[in-house]
Amino acid sequence: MPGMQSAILSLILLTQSAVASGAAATPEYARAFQRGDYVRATTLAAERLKAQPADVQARIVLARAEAARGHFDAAYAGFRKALRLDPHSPDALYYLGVTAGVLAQIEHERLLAMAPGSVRAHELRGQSYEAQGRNAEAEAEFEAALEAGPPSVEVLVALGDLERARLSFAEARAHYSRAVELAPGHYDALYGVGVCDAYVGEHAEAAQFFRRALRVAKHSAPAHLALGISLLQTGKAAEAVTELEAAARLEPRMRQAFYQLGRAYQALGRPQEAATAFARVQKLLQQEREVNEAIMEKPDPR
Amino acid sequence: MRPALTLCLPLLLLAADGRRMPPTLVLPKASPADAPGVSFVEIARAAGLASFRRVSGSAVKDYILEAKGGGVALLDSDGDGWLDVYLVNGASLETLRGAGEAPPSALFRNDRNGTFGEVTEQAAVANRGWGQGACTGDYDNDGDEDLYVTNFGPNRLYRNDGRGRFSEEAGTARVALGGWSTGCAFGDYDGDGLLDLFVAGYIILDLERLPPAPSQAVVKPGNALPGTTPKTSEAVQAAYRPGMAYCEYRGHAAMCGPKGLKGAPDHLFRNQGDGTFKDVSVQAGVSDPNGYYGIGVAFVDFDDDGRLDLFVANDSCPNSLYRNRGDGTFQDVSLASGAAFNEAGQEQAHMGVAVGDYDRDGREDLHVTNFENDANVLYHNEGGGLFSETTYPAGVGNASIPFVGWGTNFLDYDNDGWLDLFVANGHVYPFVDEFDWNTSYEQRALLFRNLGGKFAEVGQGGGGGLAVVRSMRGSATGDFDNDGDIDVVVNPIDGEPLLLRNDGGHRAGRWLRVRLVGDPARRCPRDATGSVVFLTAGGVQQRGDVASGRSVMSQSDRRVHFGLGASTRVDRLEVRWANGPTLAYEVPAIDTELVIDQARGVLPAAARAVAIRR
Repeated sequence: MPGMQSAILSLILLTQSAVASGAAATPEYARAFQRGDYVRATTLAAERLKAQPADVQARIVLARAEAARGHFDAAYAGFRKALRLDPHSPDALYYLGVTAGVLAQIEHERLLAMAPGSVRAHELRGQSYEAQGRNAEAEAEFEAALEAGPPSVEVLVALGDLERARLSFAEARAHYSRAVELAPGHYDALYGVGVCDAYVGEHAEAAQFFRRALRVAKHSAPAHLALGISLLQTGKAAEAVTELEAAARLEPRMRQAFYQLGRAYQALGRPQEAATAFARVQKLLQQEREVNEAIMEKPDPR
Repeated sequence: MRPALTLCLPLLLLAADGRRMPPTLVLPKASPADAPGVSFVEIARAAGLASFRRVSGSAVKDYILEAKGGGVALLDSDGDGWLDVYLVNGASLETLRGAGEAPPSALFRNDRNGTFGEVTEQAAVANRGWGQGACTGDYDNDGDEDLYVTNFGPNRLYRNDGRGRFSEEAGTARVALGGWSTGCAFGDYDGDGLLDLFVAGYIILDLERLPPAPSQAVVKPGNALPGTTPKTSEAVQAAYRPGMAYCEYRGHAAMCGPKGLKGAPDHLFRNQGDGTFKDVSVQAGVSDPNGYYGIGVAFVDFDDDGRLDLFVANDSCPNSLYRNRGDGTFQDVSLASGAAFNEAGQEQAHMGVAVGDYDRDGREDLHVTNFENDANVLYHNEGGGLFSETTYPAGVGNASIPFVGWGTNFLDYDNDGWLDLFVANGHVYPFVDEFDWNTSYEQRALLFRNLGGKFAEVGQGGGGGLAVVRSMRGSATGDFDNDGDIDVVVNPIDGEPLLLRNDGGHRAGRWLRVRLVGDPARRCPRDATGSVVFLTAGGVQQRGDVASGRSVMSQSDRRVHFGLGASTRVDRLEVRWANGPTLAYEVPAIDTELVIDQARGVLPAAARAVAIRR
């Protein structure tokens, strides 16, 4: 199973990687980890945790050492424990995500081994690859799923999503359209067609699909936003405001909604409301920038 | 030799390992949309420019400073009426830390026979810093082009003595700054007939506290890490991953930035008329308190009220558009104008900016280059201070997606009266070549032909020059051989420049080149920066602006070139002089250069040389 091996190898490499900094007061368990002596790192970190059960860093290093040894269930549990101690630990969050992806991959490999020709198995494996950002492999699995059996709406939508991420809108639209033919009430497919149309400037067409998507999921902030944009682009600013206000209500941190709302107010000759919306955009931008800078500034805890 | 290899690339659609060649390496087949009989030929070596090679830190590009590249300026340094080439050089971290001397930037004087000779030392414009960009303007109104060079470190203001020798005046003039400057442009924002100067700031980078470097990570580029590929165009460029000692791009260790790094402020310097400038950034309202990462800069009168406004392409942030209020201050209309984000309301990795009236509606439009897996964006000027994005309907979106775009220029390369579009491309991460990501580190340029307001990518019909691949950065356009068509010069990173000579453009359509000489006594800068030429031929009006800066940290030909297509005469030519009236002039002939002096009118041929040299 080269895919799984690759994933495990990657994780091991990853665990080795993040050791470059913070050497000044590095505890022995971390130094063992840095040397690649994962058995000793495990032992020492476990001893440390007996004495100091709330030591988040020791718990993270222990979990990473478990992962490096291929004990992904133990690693997963370890990162969860670390998160209970510090729910905002970026390290724990990051490695938990990676480990969860590897665990999912392992299960999907087992599933595919049990049913090698199964549409569902290919689909699941494709989803697993997609979750890990391995898009080429994901696409191959989804294509295999389509070949293995009758077309699946989920697979078509997944292929559409991959093409859309590449900004290949014609190809993406073809997949979404097939999905809509099979399932006229499928939100993701309807939304996907709309996005593809909007990107190439076919806003009237796009609006129709966004409306259909909203009939399926009336509380979708992205669909309200997208419909608002298309309405604005077709000169229907008043209708756009209704949709954009809905999007902003549903997602108060959705910067794009406030930006488009500002433009819609402008088009309607409501400069005060436009200025308020743009000020909100600036505030959200500022917050995002502060978060980005804080992450870069955060000292490496190891 | 690299050009010979690249000419073969269209034939080699598969790489040695069986992967499909990415579109960034393969020039599309010739198409009926290609202008017949017009091609670009790469002649840097034959023209004598290849002795220059830009240096930009390490090959692996551990830090964003090493990946930024530099600009190029086309200027008439000695006033002989022929364009010279100034290529901005970089440096290395070692030289910044005192180990050795940074390589010089280079000025190549036009020998008027298709070749150039280097005159850097004689002209005294070596710079020898980590150069970024260049722009020109006659800031002292003495009739010659002065040169401003931005750096990571103090900037230079090279004052021209009129004979092509320069003296460095940045300190005296109080425009040296320090830190990391990128794009620059001269423009008379306050209407006093003196050129002011705007300088964009990029990142506040402390050499003693550099961000994590990928080559120092145990995981080297090439070892896949799971779970980190950006899923949408929002996720561009490297992001810092918590708990890791480096940043990532598509799951691979990469240099950090710009996101997460502190942005540097922008600066507006008011020309005080005595050889000095005053920093008025804050009171003018253009100091960039948000710390956006500025790169491309353009003074442009986007609302045609006769006052120069200001556009700044900000990397990974909203663009800035400042409307000139006419009282010495600017109003930030970035968001309200629609030019800050793309149509979806997302910021992009904005790099360079081209300004031009591509649809001949009389208003200046904007084209902004962006990162890979995202489209360069075309903003159509709707009038009333509003822009709308027309990228995909106008035909410049899809082709640009695999490219990292830098320099960009509107140019009418086939003289048909419609502005075409050039984009210099090149990735910032050398390791992209190790993966099947539909892109490459070295990339070819993009040329779009304007077919009446909509664009089509020019393929092999545009000549072998378009097939050359480099990691390009700054680009500038101008008629270096004065043959009546627009050529292109590009300054790639870690390599020789490209000189793309336009062969056949002057035969494909009639043309007129206009050189303006302003009258400072009438509050127009001597070099007429900010003036606009409106030309009507065949019942169609075009416009062209006299401009400083633009593209990526580069300076194009300040003369205004018009393609006339099949028209054999100009019906009307008007000049809206900077800070002055709009006046009409007779055009005695076409397929030539017309010199118009604001004080004296159209100059006869004998007087032109004098005007040029004054």
